Amino acid sequence: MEEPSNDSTRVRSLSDFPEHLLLHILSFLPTLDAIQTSFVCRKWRHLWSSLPFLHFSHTLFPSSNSPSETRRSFTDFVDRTLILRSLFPLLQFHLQFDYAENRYASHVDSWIRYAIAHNVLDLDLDFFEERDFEYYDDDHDDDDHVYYSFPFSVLRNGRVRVLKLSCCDLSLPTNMSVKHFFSLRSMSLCKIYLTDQMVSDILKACVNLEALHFEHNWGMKDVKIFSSKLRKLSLKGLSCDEGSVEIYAPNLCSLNIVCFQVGKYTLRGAVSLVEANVALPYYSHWSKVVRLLGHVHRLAVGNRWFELLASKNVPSERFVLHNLKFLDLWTGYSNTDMLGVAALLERSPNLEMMTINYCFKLCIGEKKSSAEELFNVPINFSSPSLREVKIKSFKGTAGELRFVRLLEKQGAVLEKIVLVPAKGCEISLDGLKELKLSKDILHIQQF
Amino acid sequence: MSLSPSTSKMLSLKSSDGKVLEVEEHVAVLCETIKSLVEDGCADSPIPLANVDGATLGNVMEWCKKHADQKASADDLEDWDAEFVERDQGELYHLIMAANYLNIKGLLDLICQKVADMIKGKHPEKIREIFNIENDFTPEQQEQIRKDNSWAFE
Repeated sequence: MEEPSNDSTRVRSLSDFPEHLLLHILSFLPTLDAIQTSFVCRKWRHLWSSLPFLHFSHTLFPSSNSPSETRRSFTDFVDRTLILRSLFPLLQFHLQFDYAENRYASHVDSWIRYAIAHNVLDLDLDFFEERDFEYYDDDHDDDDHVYYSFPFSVLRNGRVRVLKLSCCDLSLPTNMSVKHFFSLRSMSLCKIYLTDQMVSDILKACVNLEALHFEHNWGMKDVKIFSSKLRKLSLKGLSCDEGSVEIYAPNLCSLNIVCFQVGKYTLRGAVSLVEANVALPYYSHWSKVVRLLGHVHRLAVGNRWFELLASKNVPSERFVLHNLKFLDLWTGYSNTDMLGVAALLERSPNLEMMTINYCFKLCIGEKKSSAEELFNVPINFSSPSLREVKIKSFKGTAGELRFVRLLEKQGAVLEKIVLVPAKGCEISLDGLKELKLSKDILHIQQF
Repeated sequence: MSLSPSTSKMLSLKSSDGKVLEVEEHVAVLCETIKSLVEDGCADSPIPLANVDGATLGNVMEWCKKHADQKASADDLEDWDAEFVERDQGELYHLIMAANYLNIKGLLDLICQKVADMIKGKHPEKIREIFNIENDFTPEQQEQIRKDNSWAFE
């Protein structure tokens, strides 16, 4: 069937694209760059005014003589863009602005109102602090930082599905817990003062929330994440050993805990949880979290397994990762590390694919004595379902080679060991002949 | 997950230049256009894709295959995508047209982001040169735009 069509092969130049695709491409530019493309050709002249995405980035904005002057011209630029923009729908509004002075509050308020009135779906506001040099000039007190106060109640009138806020204050309506914010699906709060009450009010009010990300917020102590629709939770950056976190989210699929350090972790009813990522530098936190994850399918985690499985608190026969199929392991290649891998593999009977990421010393507070005691214990891996292992940042060190040999030795069903050479490292299969592997399973991933 | 790899059957896709590609169903349904055909039960004979040539279809399916692979972690995909977009402009344009036609949001965004990165921070003159675009403004028009847009540039 030969039919002449508006075949993709006809597109020879960027200008041949239909307008909606050109707009899509220009949408990925910072708005200033997008406006500058009006000089390129006639077709592009007015395109910018219909862009569905706006990205105002203070860092990418040309600087003036002083930071406060830059702020003024940046503010002016945003104001004018919004005035001159056509009435096309707005999907994304991203603002990154070094706020620093309260006189801009009314401008920011009006930008947010503009975005919400234009039915924006994705609202991302980052009031980053860039105060290093300016505060010397202006003789400000360093503790005297000025925060924009985000009026949460404006979201009630809009359709915002994705909200990201960073470096601001959050002003919640007084009767927050009895209000409903139906549109929000995903929320990320970063570097914001949040009390436990605020957290639970937000979760109560945002009834359709599916994804939640907390990063380096402060003010929380006993965090309660209760949500019926939440599917993805990411908790990052908190240090409060007298505090706790309690998660009750029956639909939670994915959990990410990175440097979120509290005294007690509780996870209830997480029957849907399939994926977890745990990066905690201290064993005491790490072991508490890992114990909650016995049923996940995919796990990214550091290697403290030897300590965990040797510890008397965990009846080892009970702690089996029955469902684990895909493992991303951050580890070194020391003896303890290898014992840890052995212990983990033994408890992961259904593991199919393992990826090794090298980390020099992620673990703090390792007990040296136990490592030395066990220096002469023979190491054996046993993993009946493991088919593929990928070793990232491979340099060909003695530790890595020993690891490859250990893998090969046990591998009843092991089909493939993929080596990803570290940057600037030349690895060839010829150079690895000394390993004398019985099977042809080594592969090198070339970039 | 309703379409697991083990039960996935094969679909035939026919490109604009008549090449037929056999693709596992769970891979092909990353294309929303194909997915709706499958759901409507219209995917039995080779599915004709009149707007995608064979080479581009191969590239698109390579992307879909990687992104349908459960083994791939988010990091893996990111590295892989960064490699995938290293192509000449012609191929990138074909991929954009194909991703648009087949309705694959992830691929469309990936390639559009790549092209945007090629535009970013460049002068209009340079953009015309890189992308082979003719300057069809008269000097008067050019002056007018400069006036119109002066608020954004100084």
